[in-house]
Amino acid sequence: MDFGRHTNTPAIDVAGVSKRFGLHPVLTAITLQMPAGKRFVVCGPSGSGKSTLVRCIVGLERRSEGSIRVAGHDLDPDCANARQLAGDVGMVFQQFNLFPHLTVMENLILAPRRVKKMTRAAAEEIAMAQLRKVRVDQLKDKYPSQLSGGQQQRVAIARALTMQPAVMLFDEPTSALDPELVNEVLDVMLGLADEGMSMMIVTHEMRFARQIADQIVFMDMGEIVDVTPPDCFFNASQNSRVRSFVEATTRG
Amino acid sequence: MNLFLPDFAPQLLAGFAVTLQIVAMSALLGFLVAIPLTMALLSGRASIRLIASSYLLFFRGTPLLAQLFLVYYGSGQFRAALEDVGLWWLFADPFFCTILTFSLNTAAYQAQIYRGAINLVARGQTEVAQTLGLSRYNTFVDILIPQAMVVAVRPLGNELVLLVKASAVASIVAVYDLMGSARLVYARSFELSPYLWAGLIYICCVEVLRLSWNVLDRRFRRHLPNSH
Repeated sequence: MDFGRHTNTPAIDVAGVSKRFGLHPVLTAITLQMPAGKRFVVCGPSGSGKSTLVRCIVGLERRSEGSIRVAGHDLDPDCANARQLAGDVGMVFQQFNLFPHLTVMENLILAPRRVKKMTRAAAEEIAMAQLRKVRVDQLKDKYPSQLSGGQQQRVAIARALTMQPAVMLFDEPTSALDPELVNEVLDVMLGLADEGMSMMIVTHEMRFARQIADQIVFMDMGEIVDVTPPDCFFNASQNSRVRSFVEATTRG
Repeated sequence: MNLFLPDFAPQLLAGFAVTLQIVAMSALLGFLVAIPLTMALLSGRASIRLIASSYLLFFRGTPLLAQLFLVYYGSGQFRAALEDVGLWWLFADPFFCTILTFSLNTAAYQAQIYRGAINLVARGQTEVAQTLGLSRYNTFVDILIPQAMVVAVRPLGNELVLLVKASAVASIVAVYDLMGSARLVYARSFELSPYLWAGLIYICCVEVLRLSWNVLDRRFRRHLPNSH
């Protein structure tokens, strides 16, 4: 299914989503539409609910209220159908979460074979193309423990892509990496953007955000404070909270 | 007979064979019981978890000897009922009672090991498996179990060593394992040396087990992060 990529259906449509842990509100009345083919970067101070929002969208966390539609799937409030998003919605985690007991190639072909019932040959062909794209094809027979963090994260991206999703979500994909390994991951993501992939990215890399984002979603205390194009966000925001965040993160 | 070996060596070695039999059979049967027990411990339903953890509480909370007495002497209380269902000949046999008790006992310890191992690897891995659309079954079989087995190898080795030593308890209900044979020889001669020899055999057995387990463990851990 390719949808969301060339149609006018929004890739992500979040309406009135709230989430509480007990009495503590983590997300409050989040409404956000990301058109297909766009890249939204979600940023904000830590604890502002960015990761929780992304995790709600892929069905890893249950919301307390509101509706979520992603890549044409209406996500059940109890996330019972979350597994059916897979294939159309890809997720990349801060901690890579590769399967350590499987080789790089085996990491990539497991889900296509088990979920899409592909033959090994067909899955390997798609996997190989994705590994080339993230430039780790020569490492296909290595185990994750033999790779650098940057290589592991690129493999994790390739693994998500092997399911051929229409929308990709990234939860701080470079936060666990040594500084010198960050760029190789960001370059892969820029390449994906060039291909027109719909992407929602939580990141603290502000220069990268400026480069890749169509819109910057600024969150604070569980609310969306502002949704603006990067130029406006970094230079001319009317919002004082945005201005102080930009000053604090781009200084030096 | 060899000059260096005592004349009761054949009895001790026969006893040692029985010990190995008890350990191997109990470990294996215990493993078969531990699998559904682990599943129950990790179940989504609180009632099933409660039943499984009560099982653990009983078998890990009471002495093995008491459990063996309960099965061996306790079954005598139900002799009539057991004869009715044609199972008395089994419960009248101390070897059977030993295997039954030890299997149920080690199953509790093994299940605790597997639960811990699965919880350890589950973080992150189940989430990514879900976002890839893998079913619960495939997540368990393809992702969690292979990794949990690796994590479980070392504590499982410890459990096996404990089982070897605990198996001496069987001698109390007239099973002629290594300890039982040593007791028998001692009772005839009032010489202490059979106990010393038995102790030596236990030590050798445990050491062989421990060293070969280390090799196994190292092989299994090759591809896990933070492995040493």
